Amino acid sequence: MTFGNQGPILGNTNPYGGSSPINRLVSAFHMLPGIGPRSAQRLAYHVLRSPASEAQELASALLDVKENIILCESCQNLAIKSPCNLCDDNGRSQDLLCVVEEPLDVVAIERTGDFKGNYHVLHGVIAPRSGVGPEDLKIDELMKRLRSSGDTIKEVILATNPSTEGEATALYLAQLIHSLDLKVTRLARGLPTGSDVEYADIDTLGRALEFRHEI
Amino acid sequence: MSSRGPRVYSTRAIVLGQREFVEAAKVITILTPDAGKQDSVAKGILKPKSRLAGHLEPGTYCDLELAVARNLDIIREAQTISRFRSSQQNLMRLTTLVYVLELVDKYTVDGTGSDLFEPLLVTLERLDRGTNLSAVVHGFELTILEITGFRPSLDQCIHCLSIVDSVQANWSQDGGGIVCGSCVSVIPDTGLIESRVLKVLRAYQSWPFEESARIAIDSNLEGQLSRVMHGLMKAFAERDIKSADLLEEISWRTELSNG
Repeated sequence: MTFGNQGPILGNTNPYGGSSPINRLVSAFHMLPGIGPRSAQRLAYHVLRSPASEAQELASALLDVKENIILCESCQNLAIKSPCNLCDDNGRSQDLLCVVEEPLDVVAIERTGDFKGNYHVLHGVIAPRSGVGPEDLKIDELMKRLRSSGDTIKEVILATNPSTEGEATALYLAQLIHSLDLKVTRLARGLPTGSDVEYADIDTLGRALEFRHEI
Repeated sequence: MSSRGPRVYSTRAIVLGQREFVEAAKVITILTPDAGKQDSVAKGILKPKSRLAGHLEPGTYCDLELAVARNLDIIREAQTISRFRSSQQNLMRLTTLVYVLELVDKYTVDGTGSDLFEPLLVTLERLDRGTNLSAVVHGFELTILEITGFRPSLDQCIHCLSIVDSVQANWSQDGGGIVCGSCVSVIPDTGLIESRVLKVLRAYQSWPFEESARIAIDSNLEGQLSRVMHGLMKAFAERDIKSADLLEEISWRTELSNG
């Protein structure tokens, strides 16, 4: 795949030529995660068919996030000010800190409405195969935050994904945080709503049995 | 996989890694006993109700059914045989698991490495049982080097081939073995290797695992063994092995926290 003027993403059948604005837009959409060449084409043609005001709004929104979004110096989440609204909210429980991989995980947990503590975003997980080590994550910031909190933070919830890399990161963090004498917990694991027991992997099913609860 | 073969085939596999692909799909790198290392596609794996997701995590030993496709074969079904759960719950063992997977990945190219399948499987099982970690990991490193044609010379001088006493040995990382006193001036970048480090490496290379696993290894000796072997693995792979650094850091931290 090439971007911009370097070559056609539409292949040899591209009727617009490598440097056409349409091809450039398709290439730009294709750079986004989860967008394949066909989806990129569909999106580009949708933009083409839309009124100019919608395209301007899209372009302005893209520039806006790049220019105005910063990292909250406390939780490292994406924000328009620092400290962010979540860290500034005195109604939230200050003794609970939930550590997540990505900003979108904060959105997902907030959607549940069940968590009223604070967050810390790592911006990734330890993934040696991709060249990501602990030094590439916001772990130093987390440890600094925990050390400077005094007795305020009582429990750290490790909410990294239940993947091999997520588990490795959680175990790594647990080892660091235990030295501060804080309670460290991990999100429970079990069967997702609407899934089939028959198709569950043995690890998930095993943990679901291990952490079963009385009803 | 050749397009002339069957359209659908089954195989045992060990998952070496995953990477993002288009839409909700991921490219899964697997090692199989027949085809060696290969990339294949798991469609829809990022969707919450995917029936593949839990079965294709790195380090999983599984049964797969794949459909032959023009570029990358497509995983149609996956069933975990073992996830090596004990290893997943211990930082040192999990990092070692990640390290051995990275070694296999770095020492193979697509379509090679089928002869590493059984040694890797045995290593993951030993790791899960928590047997002598030093013997498991360094034994596997030496096996990989042997199978890929980089067997280090631990008894003979790499230059003159004379038998070298372990007390007077020098070590050449780039040469992949020991150097005798007479040849040390002609081999660049040699350093001394401690006698007991060399003795343990010789045991890991030539003794049956059950015997070499009985050798008592203290943390100082393990640190030296790791440095020698990690250096050797990086030198022959000709690229960085990131999880080796992580493994050393975690060993150091674990040692610190254990006092």
